[in-house]
Amino acid sequence: MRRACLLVLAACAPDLGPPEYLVDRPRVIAVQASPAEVAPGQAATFRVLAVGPDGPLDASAAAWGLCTAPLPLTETGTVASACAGDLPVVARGSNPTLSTSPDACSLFGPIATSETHRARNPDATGGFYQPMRVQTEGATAFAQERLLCPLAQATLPVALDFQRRYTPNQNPTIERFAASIPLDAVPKGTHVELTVTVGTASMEVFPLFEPAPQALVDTSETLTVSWYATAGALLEAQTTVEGVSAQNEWIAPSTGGRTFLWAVLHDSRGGVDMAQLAPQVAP
Amino acid sequence: MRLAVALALCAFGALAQELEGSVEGERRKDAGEIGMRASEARDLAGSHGDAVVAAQMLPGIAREPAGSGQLVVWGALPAETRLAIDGIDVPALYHGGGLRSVVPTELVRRIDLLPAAFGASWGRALGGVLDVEMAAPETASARAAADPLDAHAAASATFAAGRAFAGVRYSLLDRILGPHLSETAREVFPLPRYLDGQLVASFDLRAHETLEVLLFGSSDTESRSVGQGAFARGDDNLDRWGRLGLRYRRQLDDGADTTIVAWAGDQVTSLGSFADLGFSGQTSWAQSAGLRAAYRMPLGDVSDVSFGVDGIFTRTHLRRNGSLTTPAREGDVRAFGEPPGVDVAFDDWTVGQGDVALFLESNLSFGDFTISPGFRAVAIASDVSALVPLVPTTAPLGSSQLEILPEPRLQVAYRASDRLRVFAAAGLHHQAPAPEDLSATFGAPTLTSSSAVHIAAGAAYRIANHWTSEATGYLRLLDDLPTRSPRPTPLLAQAFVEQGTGKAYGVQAVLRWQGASGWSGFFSALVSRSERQDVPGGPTRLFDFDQPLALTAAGSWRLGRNILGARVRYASGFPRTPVQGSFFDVQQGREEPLFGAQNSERLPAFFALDLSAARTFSLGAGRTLRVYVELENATAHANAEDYVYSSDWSTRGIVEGLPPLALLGAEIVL
Repeated sequence: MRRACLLVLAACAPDLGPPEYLVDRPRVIAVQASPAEVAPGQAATFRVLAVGPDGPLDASAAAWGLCTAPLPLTETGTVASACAGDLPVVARGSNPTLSTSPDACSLFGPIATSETHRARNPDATGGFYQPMRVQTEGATAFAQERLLCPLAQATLPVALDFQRRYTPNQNPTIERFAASIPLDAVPKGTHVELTVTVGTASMEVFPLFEPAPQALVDTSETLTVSWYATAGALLEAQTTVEGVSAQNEWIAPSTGGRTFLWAVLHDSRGGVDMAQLAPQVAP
Repeated sequence: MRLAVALALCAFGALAQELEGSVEGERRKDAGEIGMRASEARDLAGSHGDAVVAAQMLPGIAREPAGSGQLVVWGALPAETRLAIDGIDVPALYHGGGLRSVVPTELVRRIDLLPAAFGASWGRALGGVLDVEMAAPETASARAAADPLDAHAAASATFAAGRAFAGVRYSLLDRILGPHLSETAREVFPLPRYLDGQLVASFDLRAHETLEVLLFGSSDTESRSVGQGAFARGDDNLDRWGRLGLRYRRQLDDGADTTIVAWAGDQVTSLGSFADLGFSGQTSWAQSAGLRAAYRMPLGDVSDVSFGVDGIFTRTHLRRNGSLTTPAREGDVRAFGEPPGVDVAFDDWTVGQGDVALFLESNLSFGDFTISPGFRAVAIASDVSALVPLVPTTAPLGSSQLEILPEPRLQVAYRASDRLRVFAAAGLHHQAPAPEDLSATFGAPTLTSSSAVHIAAGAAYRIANHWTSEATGYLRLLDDLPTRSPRPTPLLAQAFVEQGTGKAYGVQAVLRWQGASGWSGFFSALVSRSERQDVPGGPTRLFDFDQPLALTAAGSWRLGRNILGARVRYASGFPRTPVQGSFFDVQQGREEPLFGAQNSERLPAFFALDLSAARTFSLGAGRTLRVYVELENATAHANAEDYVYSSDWSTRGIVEGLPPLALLGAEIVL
């Protein structure tokens, strides 16, 4: 156990467990919804990326559930604990089509069910989301489908302007996921530079409502890449996209064999894309 | 109903008491009250030579989490204990981390802790009161001191009509240590940067009549940041405040005395945390003014009556944005390192509060009995700028309310013998809601005061000339506490509901010895339990700071110019909520924890041995040099300050507290 100790004032915090990028057990690391943003009651088709230490997993038996419990004020986190318990299975498979709840904008959004009830708060991009639970063998994950809800607490002119200017989110795209050397026989311990190149339309601009000044501010999405590997070491678990690309470094493991690398591209409004490399480490 | 309960309890209550130990003169003592003279306190190991820091080890105060500087008194939240310097309300007595106080030791005369059931002259606290009494030094001197924590300079002067003191302190720790710390260490414990200053002038008017001018202030900044770009996370905190006060005291020939303290102050606080592009922050600006005036007159040789007014007026302007659940509150289920919520809200509101009390109390002696009835009539007026969240194009609708709250108090003591006194006390107490809880978006603007019934009883026994002991049992019943709304769909402007209740009870025992062959010290034991219920009929859980057992032994040995000190502490670990699983949040790209029963397990117990030594050298002509060394956690015991989890929440470790800490410092007095 590695420790970082202060000499005088403070404490030692242990680094625990494997790094978060290491796929050492079955995991669901990405779920892409198409379209990425829908109105309440509308359907979206989901694509799941389930992986394990030996590579991609068959997610054809994945069980999907629709969370209809908003996060209470007594809980932290992003999904109500009620949705982590028993939840009816509404679909199975790796590419199901699911509809959001017709009342999703009041359950998870800015529409209060009555004048005496408080509305939900958006995230930093002004978005509201309905959680979808996906369970594969040995892994549970929640995807969040972005909801197209009306703007709350805005004056009528601002709300109309928002309606005119706002474009529902589109999933970002990975144009290319490449390595700095050929991956058919990577020597052990080699440092390999990885690059994700994104589509030029991936970084969208959207109007963000600022309630205090009652203004719409054109805001660019932030694109981030989450990196995963079945073996070896990654320099970073997450990186941001600068321009049209994001870089990372992978150090090949000290044992030979097939390994897998995944890059999951997120935009700040919940859009997703994913890509895979399968380097062969020389024995 | 609560009033009736309090009166009934008072009626059944037995006795009030006067604590032995460092009691000076004939000053009235409250049940469980315990004090320290600054001259004693600075010699205790673990105090870093700071008398007010030594107050953290007073019996009745739970061992605070390392680096917090929080005072948990008999099962009350830190914010439920009133802090005062010479009767002037102050927002904090310690700089960030609790390693240093805001008042230099040479200015401190004594420190008194009133843990519960105190007299009618004090109020506005569901928990206890910690009052620091200051006095400008009697002699002219100049002083400079430095150790790895900070540097301090002060000067005092005497003149025909009185005396004056000026002092300033500036932190060094962040500059000395900061560059050498790893990123992980900086994340766990931010290094505080602080500054404080004091100006005190005391004027002798007529015989037994003084007027003091007090000006003091404090500044703390704390910043930590790890990671880069979109993945940077950290905190930026700032707390600056100042107080300007006048204190008038006059003692009349007939034994009566009067004290008037008038003050005004200002405070700016900014708390911010950021993670993964999310930001939560709150900034507040508070202007306040207060008045405490009391007149005491004797009734015969052994009784007295006193009455007065205790008021404080505060106007606070607050601005907050970010998640409703950040920062976390007492009662929130959370784990160390959990990122802030992703929801974003905003509010900008103003709160005006006036809290004025008239009090009357008396000490009536009948032979060996002393009965001390008291009554405090409290009026709390509050005005909030917005009753509901701001709606554009609509004029904000404010809210005003007035509460009239009677607070009966009673203490009774019986002197069973020259050595033994038994005592009991009870009282009803109220505390106005915090301005930050009165947001229409983040809290509830219609919150009213919380209340507490305090009951304490015990005995003080003088074992021998230099040995005294006392034991006090207590019960604190809390009601109308603000808690987060449990409703799946909370009502508008009611993110908080005042439905919380609480109960804290326990026994505190203290054994003191002083004076024999230069030895002095104490042993204290606190056995307690503190519970909270967030909604009526809901589950009862342990208070976040519940500490069933706390043992402290501290002593010093004065041998000529040398002083040796030692302190041993043992304390139960604070409750924690176990993580029983996790799920992956695809959008956030991280595992989220699933919690088990709230506060159903504890951190491992705390143990520490601290040692200190000091020697004073004479430099001639009254000049001295004092050199001191202090070794904290001398046994290198690995104390757990919190649990920390792996990124998938499957593996748990501990955040360790202080490793062995050596402090070497020097102070020169000219």
